[in-house]
Amino acid sequence: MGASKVSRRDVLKGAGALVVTFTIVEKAHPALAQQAAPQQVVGNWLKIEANGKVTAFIGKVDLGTGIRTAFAQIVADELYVPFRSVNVIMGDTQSVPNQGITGGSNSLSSGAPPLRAACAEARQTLMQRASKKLNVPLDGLQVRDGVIFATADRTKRATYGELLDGDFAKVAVSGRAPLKPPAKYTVVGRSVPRIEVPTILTGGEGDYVSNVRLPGMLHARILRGPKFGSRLVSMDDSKVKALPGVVAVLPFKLPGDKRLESITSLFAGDNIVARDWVAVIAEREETAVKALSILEANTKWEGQTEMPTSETVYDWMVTQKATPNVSRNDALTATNLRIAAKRVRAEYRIPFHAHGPIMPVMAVADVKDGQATIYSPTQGPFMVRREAAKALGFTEDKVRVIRMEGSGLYGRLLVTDADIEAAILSQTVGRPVRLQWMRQEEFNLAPFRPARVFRLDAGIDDQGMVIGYSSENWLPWRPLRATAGNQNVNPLYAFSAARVVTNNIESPLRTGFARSIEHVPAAFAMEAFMDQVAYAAGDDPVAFRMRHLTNPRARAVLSAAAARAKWQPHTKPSGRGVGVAFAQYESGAAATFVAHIAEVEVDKATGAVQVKKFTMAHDCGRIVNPDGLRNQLEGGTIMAAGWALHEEVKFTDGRVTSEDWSSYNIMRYQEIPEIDIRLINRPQMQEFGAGEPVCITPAPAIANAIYDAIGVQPTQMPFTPDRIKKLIKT
Amino acid sequence: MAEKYALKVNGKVHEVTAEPDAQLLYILRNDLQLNGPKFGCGLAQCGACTCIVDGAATRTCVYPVSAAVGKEITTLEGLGNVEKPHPVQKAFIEQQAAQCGYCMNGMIMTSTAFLMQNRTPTAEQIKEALNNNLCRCACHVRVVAAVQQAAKEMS
Repeated sequence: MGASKVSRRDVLKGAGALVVTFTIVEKAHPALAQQAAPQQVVGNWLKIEANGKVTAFIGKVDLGTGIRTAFAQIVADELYVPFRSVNVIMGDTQSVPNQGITGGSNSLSSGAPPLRAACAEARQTLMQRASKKLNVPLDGLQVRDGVIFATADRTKRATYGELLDGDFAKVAVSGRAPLKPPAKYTVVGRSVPRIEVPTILTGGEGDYVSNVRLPGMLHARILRGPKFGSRLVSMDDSKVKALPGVVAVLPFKLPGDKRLESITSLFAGDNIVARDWVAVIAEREETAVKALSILEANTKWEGQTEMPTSETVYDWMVTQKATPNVSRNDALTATNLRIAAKRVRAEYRIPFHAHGPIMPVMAVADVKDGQATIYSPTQGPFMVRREAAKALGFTEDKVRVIRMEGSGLYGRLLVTDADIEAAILSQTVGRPVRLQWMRQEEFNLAPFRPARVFRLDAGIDDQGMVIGYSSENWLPWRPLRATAGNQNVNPLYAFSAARVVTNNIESPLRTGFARSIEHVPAAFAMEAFMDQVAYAAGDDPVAFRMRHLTNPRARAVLSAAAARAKWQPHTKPSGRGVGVAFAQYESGAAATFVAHIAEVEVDKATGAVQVKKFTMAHDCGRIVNPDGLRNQLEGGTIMAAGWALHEEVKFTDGRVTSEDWSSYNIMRYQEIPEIDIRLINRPQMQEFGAGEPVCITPAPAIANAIYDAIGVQPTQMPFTPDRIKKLIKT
Repeated sequence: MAEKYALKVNGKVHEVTAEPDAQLLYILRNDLQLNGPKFGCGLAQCGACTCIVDGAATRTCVYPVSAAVGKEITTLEGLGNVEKPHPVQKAFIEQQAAQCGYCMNGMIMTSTAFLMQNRTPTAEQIKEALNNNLCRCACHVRVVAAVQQAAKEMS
C-alpha cells in the first residue's frame, strides 16, 4: 500500500490553493434541491492548487461502479480543466463531507449537483481574479484547460495556477455562480476509461483494503458458533496456544459483551452477528487459519434458535404475526375485483439471497494511544466511525475510517461487521489487527436479502383493462422493520383501483440491504403476474403494458426494447420462448426506467433453462460515461439472471447449508447470454443513477420467456431444473 | 516446524521461513508483499488467488509452500505493469474488463496460462477455460472479448 494514498492529513493545508466549501444546509439552496438530506453536503468539496492539481472530496465511495471516474469527468467539465489533472478522494472520514452511505444508486444524483456548484463557484472566483489581473471585464474572458484568456487578445492570459500562487483562500458555495450549460459538456457523456483499472489489472499499488500492511500487524480469524443462537459452553485452547506465533485466543459472548452490544445499525437488521464467537490472533496469517480449525475441534457449543427451513419458510411466513403496512388502498378495489369480467390470481415466492462478494468482508484496525484508524471496504465510513467509537469507548473525533476498495459489495457493508470486530481485537491486544472473514462465515452470517411471498389478484373489464388489483406480501426483516417493503410494490401501471399490503414480520435469518433490495422480489411478482393478466385478457404482453402506461419515458423504454428485440412471442410452447419485463426503479427521487426482453431455451427432458439473449433498454437521465454505464448494465443483468436461475440461501436445523461456491451457485462463463443494450440518453435531465435498476427486470423476463417456451410459468425463484421439470409434468 | 524455502517468483529467488503446509497465497501476499493474487475462498473454488506455477494456472490458496520449491512462479505483477502491460493485461484494460476488479487477477492468470496452450481459441473454448473462475460483478462478456483480443495480438 502506498503511504501517499493514505496520508491525507495535510490535504487541505498549504499555500497557493483555493478550497471550496459548503456551509449551507437548507434545501432552498439552488445546488441542494435534489438532496434528501442537505446537511450531509456540508464540508470541503474541492481544492485547486497553484501547481494545477485539482482534488475533489466525495463522501460517497466507489464500489467498482466507476463513480470515481464519473465525478472526475464532472469536475473536468465544470471547471474547464484537463481530466488527468483531477484527483478524487472518497470515503476518508478525515477529509470528505459526510454524505451518508453509498447505496440505492444515488451517488451521482445526490453528489453531482453540489460538486458542480462547487466547481462553478471556483471558476467564478478565478475569473474575477483574472479580470482584475488582466484588466479585462468578465464578459470579455474565456476559459479552456485551466487557462483564462481575453477573447479579444489571447496573449492576455493567466493560468489557474498563476491566479492561485502564494494565496490560500476558502470560498463558500453561494449557488449563484453560473453552471456550464449541459449542451457544452465535452467530458461528461464520453466513455473515459476508468482511472483505477490499469492499476487493478497489473497488481499495482492500488487501493484495495486487503493490501494494507502495517508494521507489527497481526492476523485474526473468528470461530463462530455452529448454529444461530449457539452459546459457547467450553473451550480447550491449549493446542492452539501451543502453536508458534499465536498471540491470543479471545472468546466473546453475544449477547453479553457490552462493547459489541453498543453497536446499532444504520437502518435495521442485526448489526452484529448474534452468537458467541472466539477470535484467534497470530503473527502469521496461515497460523491463524490453522488455529481456527484446531479450535473448532476443541470447543463445545449448545443451543440454537428455533427456525423454519429454506423449504418451509414460505408457509411459515404467511402464518406469522405481522405488522401490516398499507401503501395503497383505493375504496373501489374490492368492488372492482368482484364485478370484473375476468379474474387472475397467483402466488410468487422469492428466497433469501446472499451478496456473495468475492472477497469475504475484512478490515484492518490500529487502535493505540486513545486513537483508532480503521481501514475498511465499508459502504458507510461515517457509520463505521460512529459505531467503532461506541464500541471502543472513544469520542468520534478519535476515530478515523479510511474507506478503501474491496470486492463488489452490493449492499453487504451497509452494516458494520469486520471493521468493528477488528477494532475491538486491536484495542484488546494493543497492536494493529487484520481480520479476514472466511468464505463459510460470509455465506453463513451475511445479512441476506429478505425472502418474500406475494399473493396477487387482478380483475379485468371487458375492454381488457385492469380495474382492480390486490397485492398482499410478506416481508421478513431482523429486527422487524415496520415501514419496510414499499419499493416497487405499488403498481406502476394505470390500474383503476388497487390495494397493496406489506405484512412486516421478523426474519429467522440476519437480513440487510442487497442490490435493489426490495425492488427485485416485488418486480418479479408484479411483472411475472402482468404477463398472466395480459394473456387472460387475450392481449400481447408488450401491448398490454403499453395500454396501462402513461409516463412517456416509461413508454419509450418499453417500446425501444421491444423494437430492438423485434418482439414476437411464439405463443405455442416450442421449448424456445421470449419474455418481457419493465420497471421504474423506486428509490427517493430516482427516476430510472428499464426493460428487458429475454430469449430462453428449455430442455424439456432435464428442465434446464438456458438464457440465449437479453435485449434491453435503459433510461437513467443524463449519461456521464456510456461505456461505464454499459459495464454496469451487463453486470447487473447477469447477476440478476443468476438470482433467477440459481441463487438461494439454503438453511435447515438452525444453520445455513449453502456455505460455499459449490452450494451457492452464481452465473458462470458457459451460460452467459448475449446482451444487447439500447441506451436512452437525456442530456437535459439530471443523472438519476444506474447499477440497481437494471437488476429488477431480468428475473421476470426469464419467467415470462419460460412460460412462452413451455406454457407454464415458474412462480418460485430460482427456476432450477428440478422445479421446471415438475412444471412440465403438471 | 517452520523451515526455510527458496522460491523463484517473477524471475527472482526469495527466501522465506514458513511451515511446510503454509498456503503459497499467504506467503506471496504477506512475505513477498505482492498484491496480485487475492484471497477469495481458501477452497480453490473461485480462482481469485490464481498464479502460474511452471506454466499451469494454480490456485495458491490451497497450494503448500513446500511444493513450490524449484518451480517458476509468476504472479500478476510478473506479467507486466501499468507502463508496460502484458498483452493480456493490455487487452483487459482496453476492454475495461473490470468492475470491482477483485477477481480479475484470476481471470488474467488463467487466460494467460490458457493462451500458452491454445493460441487461436474460440469464444466457447475461452468460456470453458474460465468456467471455474467466478466474477460476481459479472464482467464475463468483457473478459471473453479481452481474451479474444489478446489471442489475436499474441499470434
